[in-house]
Amino acid sequence: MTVLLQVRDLVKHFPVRRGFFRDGKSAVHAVDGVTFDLDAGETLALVGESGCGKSTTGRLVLRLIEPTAGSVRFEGRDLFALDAGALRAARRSMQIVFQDPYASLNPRMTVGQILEEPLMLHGIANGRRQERVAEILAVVGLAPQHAQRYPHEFSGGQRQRIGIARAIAVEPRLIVCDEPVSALDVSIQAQVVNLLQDLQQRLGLAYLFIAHDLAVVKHIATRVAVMYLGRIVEMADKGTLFSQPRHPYTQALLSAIPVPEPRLRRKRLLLQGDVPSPIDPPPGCRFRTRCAYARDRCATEDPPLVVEGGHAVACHFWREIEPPSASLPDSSSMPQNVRLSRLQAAFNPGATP
Amino acid sequence: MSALLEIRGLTTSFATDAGTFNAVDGVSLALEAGRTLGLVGESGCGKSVTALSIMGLVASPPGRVAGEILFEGADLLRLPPAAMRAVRGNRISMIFQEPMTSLNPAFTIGEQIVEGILRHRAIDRVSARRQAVDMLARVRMPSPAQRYDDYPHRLSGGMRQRAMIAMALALEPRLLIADEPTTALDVTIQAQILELMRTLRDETGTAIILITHDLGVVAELAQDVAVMYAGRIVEKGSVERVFAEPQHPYTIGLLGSIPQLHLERRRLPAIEGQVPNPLVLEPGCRFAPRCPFATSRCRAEEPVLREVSAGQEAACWHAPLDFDTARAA
Repeated sequence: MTVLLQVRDLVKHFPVRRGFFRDGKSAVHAVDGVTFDLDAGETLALVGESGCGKSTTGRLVLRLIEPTAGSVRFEGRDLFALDAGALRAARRSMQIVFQDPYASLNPRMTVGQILEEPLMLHGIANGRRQERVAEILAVVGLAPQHAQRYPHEFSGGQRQRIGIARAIAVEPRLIVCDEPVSALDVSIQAQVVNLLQDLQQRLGLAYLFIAHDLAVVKHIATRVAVMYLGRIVEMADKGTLFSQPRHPYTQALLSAIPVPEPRLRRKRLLLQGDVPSPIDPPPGCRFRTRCAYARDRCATEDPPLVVEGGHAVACHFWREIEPPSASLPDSSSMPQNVRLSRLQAAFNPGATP
Repeated sequence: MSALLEIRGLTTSFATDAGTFNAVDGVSLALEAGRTLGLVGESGCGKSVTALSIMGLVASPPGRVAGEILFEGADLLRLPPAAMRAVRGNRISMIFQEPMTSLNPAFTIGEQIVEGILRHRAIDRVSARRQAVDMLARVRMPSPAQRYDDYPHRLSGGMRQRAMIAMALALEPRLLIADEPTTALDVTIQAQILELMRTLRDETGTAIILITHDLGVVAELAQDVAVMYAGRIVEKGSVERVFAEPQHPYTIGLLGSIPQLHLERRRLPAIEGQVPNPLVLEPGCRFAPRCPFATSRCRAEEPVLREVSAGQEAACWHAPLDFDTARAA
């Protein structure tokens, strides 16, 4: 696999002014030393709760905002060293799909104009732009005549299809998907998740998939990075992360997800308290204020992200913490509901259940 | 055991420029004391309007509420406004989704809890304050006496929702309506709040109507479930039955379309299409245009909710549905 994206020690601090005379200077440590690689054609999910820095990381990766420190290399080129023209050219290969399909489409432009704009900007399909727009609409499951309509005429799921169409119009290699299905109803979510998977296969896209919903992530990702207060605390391929979570935060996060299976009874790892403020993150390990395993060392020494056999964990004591069997519901203990899966398969004609 | 709440033929309509439509269309359900009913469905299915109708909070005009809502023997829809005010916040209270917009930013959370207590109880301010602090302690608010004097903006999302729950439960209501109580919260905070609601329910015996789009939350907290689609209840029964042996195709599709942590699937069985426009409803079953099992009868005649197995009702001509009859259909 070729490495598409190399992110090294990425830092973003947003300055805030405090105090009556606004002279107290401090900063929100939104992203604080994030490092990862993304291969062509794979899906790396960035997960975590509000304020963990996952969306800021997504914006930094596209250089939509400037970093405080660190580097991003896309296809080997340092993104932060590019001038405006070169950056615009590079963006042809890297696109974004936003969370809110209502706010991210210009209400004064028709769908056709929305999709033609990136084509014009990058000089693609000159002379046959209308045809290209019709092709792209077909790819995302919309009809050519939709090009004449305005965004408000579409439902949320259809608008997200338009947002995806705009991203793939320029044939990118990477799409940053920033919570692409969180604003949608569940039945519509499934349609969009399926579309993203189909497009990845057809077009060989890589996704940086930013989400808070671990069930969606488990469905779509190849690798998963869990973020907490601006740092990656654990990163592994999907199977490993979900079956053997090693960081106490990942374990608690997995255990907190409600599962629509009333017969499953799980032992819960309930986290106490709230996430500390990213303005003054606690010294040492940032998770220690909520961690059941925290010891003296955690307060003084910041645990680095240590990679062992492809599984990266930032915890001093991860070797001593047992991966809890109860954090994830065990599917093997549940009899498979044959009737239900066969009936559900009827909703997807042509697909294997 | 007689029902604490019994809703019969509830129809809530709204007049708009484009015409009048029924957001809730003939909903009937019953809830016994101490039980928790999950009311689930997607945006616009009428679950929140059902809650607002029970609370008497549907603005009229443009809204119009018809049917019967029997609570402790009285029809809430026929109570005079003063009598309804004595019920609301006292015998029935409600938790809203967004704790930041439903708390008043200009008053401390303590003052907001005390306001409700003084409105319904003949006690002095000092005892009301003591009661409010006790309540904050019961919802596991850290340092409740100090938090009493905090304004909502000083609290985190989870703390605000705890304050809302304290306010709702301060007068020990018989019925609590929780409208998406954890949707705005992060998952680890959601787990805390669900745990708290479960504990308080078991301590107080309050009946709960839990409104949510999240079937996982229903499985965690509710004993019974009613699934709504386009203003109607399409399936109801015990949580165990409905989740294990769903009979309405919408419930089947909905359960299939959620990615689940304990299932490994290559492709999600999505429900194609979208919910019908309530202003232009076709005859027949409202789910028929999206239903893989629909037949000509489904497109002509609307099915009514009927018992399909012990304690489980579904509004589908083909229920109980199994794969072979479904294919034959």
